[in-house]
Amino acid sequence: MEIQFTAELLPQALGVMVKGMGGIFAVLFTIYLASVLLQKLFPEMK
Amino acid sequence: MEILLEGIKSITLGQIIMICIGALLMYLGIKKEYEPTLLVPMGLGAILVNFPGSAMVTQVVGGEKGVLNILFDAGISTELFPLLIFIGIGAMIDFGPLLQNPFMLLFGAAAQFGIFFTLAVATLFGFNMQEAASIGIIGAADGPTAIFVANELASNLLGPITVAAYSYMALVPIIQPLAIKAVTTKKERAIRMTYKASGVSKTTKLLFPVVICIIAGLIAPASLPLVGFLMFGNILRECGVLDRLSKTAQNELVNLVSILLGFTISVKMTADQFLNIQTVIIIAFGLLAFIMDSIGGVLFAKFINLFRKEKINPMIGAAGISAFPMSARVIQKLATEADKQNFVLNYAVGANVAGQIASVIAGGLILAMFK
Repeated sequence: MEIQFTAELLPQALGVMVKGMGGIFAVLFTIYLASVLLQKLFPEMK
Repeated sequence: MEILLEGIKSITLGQIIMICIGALLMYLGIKKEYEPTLLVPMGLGAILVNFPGSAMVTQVVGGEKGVLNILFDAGISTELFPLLIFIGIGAMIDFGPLLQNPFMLLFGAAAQFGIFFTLAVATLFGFNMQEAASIGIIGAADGPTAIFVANELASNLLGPITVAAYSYMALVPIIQPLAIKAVTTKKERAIRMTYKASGVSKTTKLLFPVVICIIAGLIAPASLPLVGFLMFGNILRECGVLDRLSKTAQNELVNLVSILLGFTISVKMTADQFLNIQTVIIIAFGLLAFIMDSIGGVLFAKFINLFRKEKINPMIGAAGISAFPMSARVIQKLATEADKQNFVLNYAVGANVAGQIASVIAGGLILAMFK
């Protein structure tokens, strides 16, 4: 393969980066909310 | 006599270099103890596949199918080996420290930044999206996920990606302090965090992996093989009635599959596949991914601190990578270096466990985006 820097691909590359990070934050934030809910519903009995 | 000398006469410079690389991997595994479970079998495999006419691999000219190719088709092409390892990893993980501080999940997300940053950079350097994504996934700091994703998207790059992923995981104690110190001050590294000892009920621990499976299934179904096997292992651990299976998953299963995994991957380490400029670039990009993971995590923690009264030690963000428990230990060591009385291990472990979940979710998202 030929290795060359193509600046024209920058918007596309940034788009993928934003979409990927957005996706991962969305899933992890949902898991966060679910774990807070689990903690509230099933607190540790002392 | 001629037959006996045939191998010596036909060996190429590339094959000699690969045999030396194999020996180096074995040296690093045995002498330096860098991920020996993978690097030792992989190093020996790299030596064995690079002899001219080696029956370990299928030869182009009229050879029978090599034994490593048979193992590769059975265990890697089918994704079986990395997934079986996930059962063992799941059985080893205690989600307790994470459930004590569920907020740490967000640091797990932030520390996957290196994956997507490197993906973007690799795209700019002319790799197609599938190849760029496979290179980026080195930043998951999670060997089985890297193998799983790379095999699906760019199987031709599997050799260098696996070498990079496992080598950098072994080098976390060197890479992370450099990256963290570049973006934090000593004062920031010395920030103390109050330890709030809250317990987690058994029911919560048992339901947590089930809930993660449901969320992943609904939001990111492509991640289900990775998430499902990981959480299956965790349920074996937490259900309380399958201790025997849990111990088997943690020990015998992981050990058996690890033996085969490293050895099998070496099928991709023949000189003609490995020795090229792409390999050098992939290994460089892998380092970039690890550095940007740590920086992404730290910068996210700093951003969160802008809105918090009780500050978070920004290094906790860097613990959100999947290299467990090494990363958490590195963070604690750096915290102690900055302030001898600083104890952040509990938070770091929580973020580190979050990184394990985040890395498999990231793998699934990448497959959903580019497969």
